[in-house]
Amino acid sequence: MEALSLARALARCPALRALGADALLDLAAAAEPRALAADATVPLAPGAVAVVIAGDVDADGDELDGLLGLTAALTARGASLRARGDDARVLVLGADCVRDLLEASAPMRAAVLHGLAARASAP
Amino acid sequence: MNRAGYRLGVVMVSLAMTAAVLLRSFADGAFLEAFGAAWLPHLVIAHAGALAMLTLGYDALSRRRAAAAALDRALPLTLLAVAALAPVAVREGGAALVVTVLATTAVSAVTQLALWNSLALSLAGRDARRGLPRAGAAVTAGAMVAGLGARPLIGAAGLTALPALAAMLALAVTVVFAAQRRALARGGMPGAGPAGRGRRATAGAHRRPPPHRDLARGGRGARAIVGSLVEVAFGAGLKASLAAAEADHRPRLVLRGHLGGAAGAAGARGAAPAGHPVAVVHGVEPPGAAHPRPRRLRPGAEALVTVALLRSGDSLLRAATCLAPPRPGAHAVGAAPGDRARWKVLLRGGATPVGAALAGTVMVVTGSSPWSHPHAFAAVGAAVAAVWLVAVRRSAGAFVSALARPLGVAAGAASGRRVAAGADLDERRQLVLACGDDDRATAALARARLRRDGVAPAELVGLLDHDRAEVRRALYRLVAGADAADVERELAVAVTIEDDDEALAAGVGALARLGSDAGLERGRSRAPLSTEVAAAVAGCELHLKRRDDGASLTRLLVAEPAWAAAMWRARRGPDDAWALAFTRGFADPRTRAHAAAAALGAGAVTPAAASALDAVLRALVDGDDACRAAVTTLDDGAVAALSDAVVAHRPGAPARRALAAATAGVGVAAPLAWTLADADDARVRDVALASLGAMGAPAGDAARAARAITRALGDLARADGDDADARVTRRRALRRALAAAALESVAAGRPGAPLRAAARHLSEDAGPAARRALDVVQEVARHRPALLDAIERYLGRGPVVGTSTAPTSVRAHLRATALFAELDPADLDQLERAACVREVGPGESITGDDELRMIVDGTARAGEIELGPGDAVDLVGAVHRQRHPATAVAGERGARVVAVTTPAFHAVLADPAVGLALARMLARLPARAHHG
Repeated sequence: MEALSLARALARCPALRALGADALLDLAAAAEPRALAADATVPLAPGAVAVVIAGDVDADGDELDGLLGLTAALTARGASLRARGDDARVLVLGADCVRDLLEASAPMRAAVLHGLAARASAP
Repeated sequence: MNRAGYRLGVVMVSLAMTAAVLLRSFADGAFLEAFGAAWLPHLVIAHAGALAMLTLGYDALSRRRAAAAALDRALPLTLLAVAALAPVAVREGGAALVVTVLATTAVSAVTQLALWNSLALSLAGRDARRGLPRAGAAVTAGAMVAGLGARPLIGAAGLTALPALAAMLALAVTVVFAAQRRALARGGMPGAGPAGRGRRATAGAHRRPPPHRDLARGGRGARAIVGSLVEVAFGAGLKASLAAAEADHRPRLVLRGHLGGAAGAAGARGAAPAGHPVAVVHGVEPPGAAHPRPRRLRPGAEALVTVALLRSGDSLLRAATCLAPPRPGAHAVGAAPGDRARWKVLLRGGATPVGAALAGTVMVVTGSSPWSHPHAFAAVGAAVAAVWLVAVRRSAGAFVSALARPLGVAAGAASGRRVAAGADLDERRQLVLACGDDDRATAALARARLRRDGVAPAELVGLLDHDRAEVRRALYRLVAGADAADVERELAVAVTIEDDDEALAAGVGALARLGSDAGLERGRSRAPLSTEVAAAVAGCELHLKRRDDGASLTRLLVAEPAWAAAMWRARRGPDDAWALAFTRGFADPRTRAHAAAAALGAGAVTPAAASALDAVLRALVDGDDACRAAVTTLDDGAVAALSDAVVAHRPGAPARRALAAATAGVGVAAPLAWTLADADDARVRDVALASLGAMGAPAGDAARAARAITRALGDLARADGDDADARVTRRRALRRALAAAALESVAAGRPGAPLRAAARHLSEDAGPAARRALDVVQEVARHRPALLDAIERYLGRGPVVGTSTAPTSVRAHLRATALFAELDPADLDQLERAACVREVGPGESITGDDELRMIVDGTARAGEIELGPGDAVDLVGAVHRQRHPATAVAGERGARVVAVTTPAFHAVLADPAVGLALARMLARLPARAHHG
């Protein structure tokens, strides 16, 4: 049931919601759960992104459609995760997962493009 | 490859082996002469211990770079010293002889390992695959030369000629070693690799080296134990015969190390005539295997055949236990090439002799003979072999993981970790419970998990006594989507006592999909009181051809699309009713996804169904979210029907590409994606293979994956030009081949992620990342030499990206942009027809109406932001299909732009390469910017 609950957490992410249930289950199995102590900073590997399971987390102040560090991942930069206030938990998706999904899934690509465009044009 | 370094290295290791065999033959023979065969087991165990100690000492001393270089230079000299002192020690006898015998084995073995590492520095990648076995053959040849040449040498110059010749050879090795190091310094060390090893804890990357080194050590030790046991079985009984031979003063033969060494030892002791006993101390791993109990063998063909069989068996066992590397030893622990040398020494010189010594010591201490307790002996051997199998396979998997880590592949993905099957009954019940969850996403995940776990319909029906109606409802739907004819009776019983209206409706529908009217009576009795049940009964009557009214069909189509599709496939009713029902359902945003799912699932069984399918495919091409969502809800029957429709109806390439993209991550749609992966259009194959890759563990179809590899390699070979289009075609074909290889790997139970990552790095990078990617392909897909050859040819064609000439045509301008650099040539043809180059005067607006413009020359300014060549103007507006209010103006010298109409731009956005390039460009834009 652990995999199911992780997949459910991923399904709450707008950018990943468009993925099929199988892809979410695979993603949950491949993702790395990490606990973040309050106000602690953990570096995110270049290309990797994170999804918040619990708590309030930012990645260099950057969140896009529920994915932390996506803009950094797309530009091959690393980012830092920081839990704001209380302890938090995130699921870290490796660079390979993110690239595979972005290449394969048109719905996810569309969601990400929409989010990126909105980020660049938001008032 | 450093050719000079390699050639000198081959000479060096061959000479060193010749010297080692001569010297060890001399020393071992002297030991046997002095102490007799009874001490042979102790000698071999002591050999192993001495080698292990010397290896650990060597490793400790060589941890510092400067000390390592000096130590490597000193080793051939040490061998020379041992060779010079050996005759003296033999004359002295006693402890001096024992020390010399041990030193001979240990020093020669460690020297050989160090020299081999130096040789390995001269080559890497596929060169190493070819070159190292050849060097190994040279080593064996050196041993054979020593063995075959020893007898005439002794006859001509006496026994002491052996250490004398060994000393001369050791001197020659010293000289060649120095020359080889100079050659490496001049020509480079491709086998050294980058030494950097990250230690910082980073999310998304490994925090510490995986345990494969411990596993490899354990595997090596277990392998040595098994090797020793095999040899004991092989040699049991000869000790007694040897003792008898001693009593008769008959000459002995000692087979040692390689076959050449055996012959050399035979020469040292005087060749025995046929029929004289032979002591076999050949090791599976020459310096390490303990051999306490030699047995009687006749010299000549029998000994050769036996030893050859031993070696072949060993190789076979190693191959069987190997996941990726052919020799899961040092290669497996040193993911960084520079790290391999050290581990090669530690494994061969440390773990192997320790394992062998352990086995030998136990047997000597217990005094056990394999023939007195054959079953126990075999059981111990099998148990240790099992440990070996597990350790080596896990080590090899972890090795691939470590190898692929620099390419961004996570450990679990690289080692093929999958979602564990929910075999636990309690967990199974919880999953069933989750199928009835109010949250649709949760319910869909639980259903997918149950389907993946392969839960049989009989098991699902057995849970229909669940208290919660939502769960029973979900169970009825799960059974309905499965091939559940064998549980029809149980299903009918459950429907008869069902007291929840929605669950009853689902049960009646499930029975109808099985072609049964067993639920009809119970449904009719409840229909006057429940609209859900009434609709289900109407659907059931439709399915069973008891009625044909369009209103019922429409209700079924938008309420139970899977059922409607299954019904249409089964009975193929009046077309006008289907067309009307679909049109109504598809036009309503609330029911659009359901209608689309019904149309997709019905396939093209009738003209109206085909027409509805076309409408859904057109919407998919336009990026309709409802249609994409519909693809994720298809069941097995619907996917099969859709696959048939794709083959028979042959929708256009854009529709097939959109359909393939929509199957990404939808495991049940794998058969459809496989069908599309066999399409005639390479663009469709691109997307279908990527979608299959995103399914994690799609239904394995090794044959189709193999065909996809072959086709992609054919595409790669045909794209032989030097123009930009040919380069792009080659890159895409290479990625297709590797994507198919990844699927083949998954079908064989191995991980696919490393190959997908390798595909990216081979096609996008040059230098170390591409070489590492080639390393990964070699490990994971080494059974595909055609693929490896194609990659080598691809890399051998030179720079993989960029062009040095300034673009002049519209097409060249488009190709020069980051957005369209990787666009398929056929798509670029279409884009070119909708593009033009425009000149914009100084200060004029550069933002086009309904156009995406990219600057190819000059500058522009959008608010505070300076734009230059390569930048797109109003990118955000193009994505949103509306012009952004912010305006960019050309700079003082004006600007030249290449302009693409927005519809044409959106048409090629289906290409993942364009989508990714666009995402990267958008990600580089500062947040809340207005320049686009």
